[in-house]
Amino acid sequence: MGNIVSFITVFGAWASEAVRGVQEARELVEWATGRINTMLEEQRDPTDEEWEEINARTMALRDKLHSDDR
Amino acid sequence: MAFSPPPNTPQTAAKATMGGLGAALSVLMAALLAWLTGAVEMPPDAEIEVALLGIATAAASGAVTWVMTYFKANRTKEESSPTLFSFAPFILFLFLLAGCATRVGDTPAQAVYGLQADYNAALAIALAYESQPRCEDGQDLTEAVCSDADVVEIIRSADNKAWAGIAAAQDVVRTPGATDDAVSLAIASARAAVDVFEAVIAEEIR
Repeated sequence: MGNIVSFITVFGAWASEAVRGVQEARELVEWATGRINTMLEEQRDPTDEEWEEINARTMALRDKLHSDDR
Repeated sequence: MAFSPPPNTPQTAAKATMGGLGAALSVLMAALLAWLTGAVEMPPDAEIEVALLGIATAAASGAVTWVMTYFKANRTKEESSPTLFSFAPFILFLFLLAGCATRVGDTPAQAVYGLQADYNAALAIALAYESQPRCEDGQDLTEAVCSDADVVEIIRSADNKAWAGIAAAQDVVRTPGATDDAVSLAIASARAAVDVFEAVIAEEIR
């Protein structure tokens, strides 16, 4: 019984962080899909502003991943 | 090294059963969380079929984990992977939800843009793991939520290679006059780098 309670406690704490991660991932994918749909409708490539926008999102994530603040 | 199955003791079977139940429970809870958070939407008449598919997936994950845990049950603590083994199906389920979702573009630039979006999604998953406190030496990982420093370094290294591939592909598709061969090679290299990054995450965060 103790193992099950421990498992659920660990899973709950871990899952809350994992869900936040997957929600952020979904938002990124939905945002990019919207951008690509617009490009397809307008039959054009990404503009410089759109490249800079996605690069900024990438660098923000990478900066956090490579940070040793914790 | 010669392969030898572990002795069939009650302790071995119990550990394997706990692992199997943990894996099955992970999938079911992941599915529940995904449904509650709106990550998965489905028409009402498909709910029963999807629920049955979820239960079958959980059962399959439990069975596979039972077998894997059975053969790992007799390893010493030092030999064991310092991660939450039974969460492997959960991580794979997250990838199922989050990855491979960006619409593929028609042009090379659109393709790289979509590939970078998939890479960003993988980064967000990796970051969810990395943001946990680092595990301490001797910490009982069945009673703590933490990230292993060695795993974080492996992920960071894979990320550096993935980003190098994406950045190179972006440079090529944004360069006027780039040859078709150069564009194709750059996109293929970037896609391979992102695939490796995603595979490393799936393999290491478990």
